[in-house]
Formats: sequence, structure tokens, C-alpha cells
Amino acid sequence: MARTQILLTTLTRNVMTDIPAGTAIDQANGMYIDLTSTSIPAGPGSENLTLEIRTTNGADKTVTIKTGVGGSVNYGPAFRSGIGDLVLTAHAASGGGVVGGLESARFMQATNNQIYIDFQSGITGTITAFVGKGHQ
Amino acid sequence: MSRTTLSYTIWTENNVTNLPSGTNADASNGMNIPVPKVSTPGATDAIDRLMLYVSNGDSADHTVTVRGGTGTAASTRGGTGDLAVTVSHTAGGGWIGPLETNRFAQNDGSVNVDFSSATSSQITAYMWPTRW
Repeated sequence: MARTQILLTTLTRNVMTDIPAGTAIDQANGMYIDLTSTSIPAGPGSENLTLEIRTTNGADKTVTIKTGVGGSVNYGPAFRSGIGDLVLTAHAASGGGVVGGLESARFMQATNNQIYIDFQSGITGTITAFVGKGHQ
Repeated sequence: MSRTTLSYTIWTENNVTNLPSGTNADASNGMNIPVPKVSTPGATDAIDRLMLYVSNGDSADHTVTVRGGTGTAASTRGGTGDLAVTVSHTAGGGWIGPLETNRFAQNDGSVNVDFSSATSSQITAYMWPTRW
């Protein structure tokens, strides 16, 4: 099956944003975040993206931010994709973690402005994606 | 008593930060978040990248107030006043921010936060990482 989308929660300056329920982690299919923007100025990029991962499986599990497409002879925005995947550990002791920002030059997919995320087998919990402006 | 100091956790680019346990809200004295006073845009730690995560396990909504800044040097828009926001108990809390440096910086660059109630309420401060 196709990857499951993680919808964005936008954090707004000088405003309270209720804690979102989060999206259930889809380990089987992987997940993605769509950062497409057609506005001027452009919307937030992955540098302004933060992932909150809350795990419930009771053991450390890895979360992998998949490398993007680009660089060398490959057309795409991720000219630093050669660095490869970013494999992180969501610790059971803290109940998860916060990831980000993420480097667009490394992780952006070819043409769809998406970030792909995979999870280690056995992980359960929720994930929430936040974006906000880095500067006012 | 003086305000309780609340330190912030800096998120790291391309990395994971363990979820902090949070600090109990101090409604009696209020809290103070020390942020270095900066004079240049894009400084490493700045209020416009500060995020507050406030949990509310009470059976009623709470109010969190981010105090308007003082002093024309640090807070040119301090006259805009306090920012009072509602922390929903049904949502279990919320995120406040980013915040506006020109409105909330105290003379020493820090931020003052007050609470209507400390019942089952914790707060965590995060600093968004500097952009590449």
C-alpha cells in the first residue's frame, strides 16, 4: 500500500495551539509529509519541520528519515542525498522524542516536495508533524 | 519569592531529542525563561524560536500569560501588553509560540510566564534550531 500521510499542524506566532491527537504510526507502509507550497512567499520547508513521536511499544525503536533524490546525475532538490538515510532512535524510557528540523537538501523527494519516514518493526504510537516559521 | 527558572531544550537539526518530563508550573511565583539578549537577527537562541509546551491534566481550562516586555531597548513592542492564552483541558494542553522578541523580551532578554493554576500542569520550553 501507499504511504500514509502525516498532516501538518502549523504553529502560529503568539498563539496557543491545542495538542493534536497525532496520527497512528503506520509501520507497514511507511509515512510521508507533504510540504508542497504554491504560495509567495513559499510556505515552511523541512528546516521548519518538527516531528513529535510518542511510542507505546515499550522498547527502543528506530525511525528512519529516508534520503531524498538529487545530486550527481540524479535530477532532484536533494543535492546532499548522498549522505544517506537518517536513522534515529525513539527511546522507550522517555516515551519517544522530537526530531528536527530536517535538511531539505538531504531529504526532499524528487518532484513531490515530500519527506518519507520509515519505522522499525514492532513500533506503535503516534506521530505529529509541526511547522512554524523560524524567524518572524 | 522570585520566579522559578525554566531552562529550554534546544532541538537539534537532523537529530532526535528525548521527550523531557516537563517542569511543574509555578503559579505562585511565576516562571522565568532566561534567553540571551541578542542584537543580531538570526542569533543562535532567540525568543522568536522559543516554543512552550504546556500540559493540562486538570478538569478545567487554565490560562497562561506571557508577560509583555519592559524597556525600550529590549522590547520595542512591549506596550502591546501581555499575551493570555487558554490551555485546554480537553486537549490536554497546547503549544505556545513562536513568540515575538520585540513584544516579550524583558530587559535582560528573558521571558516571564504566569499561570492561573498549577494543578496538574507542566511546562517545557524548546528552542527551535538555527536555520542552515
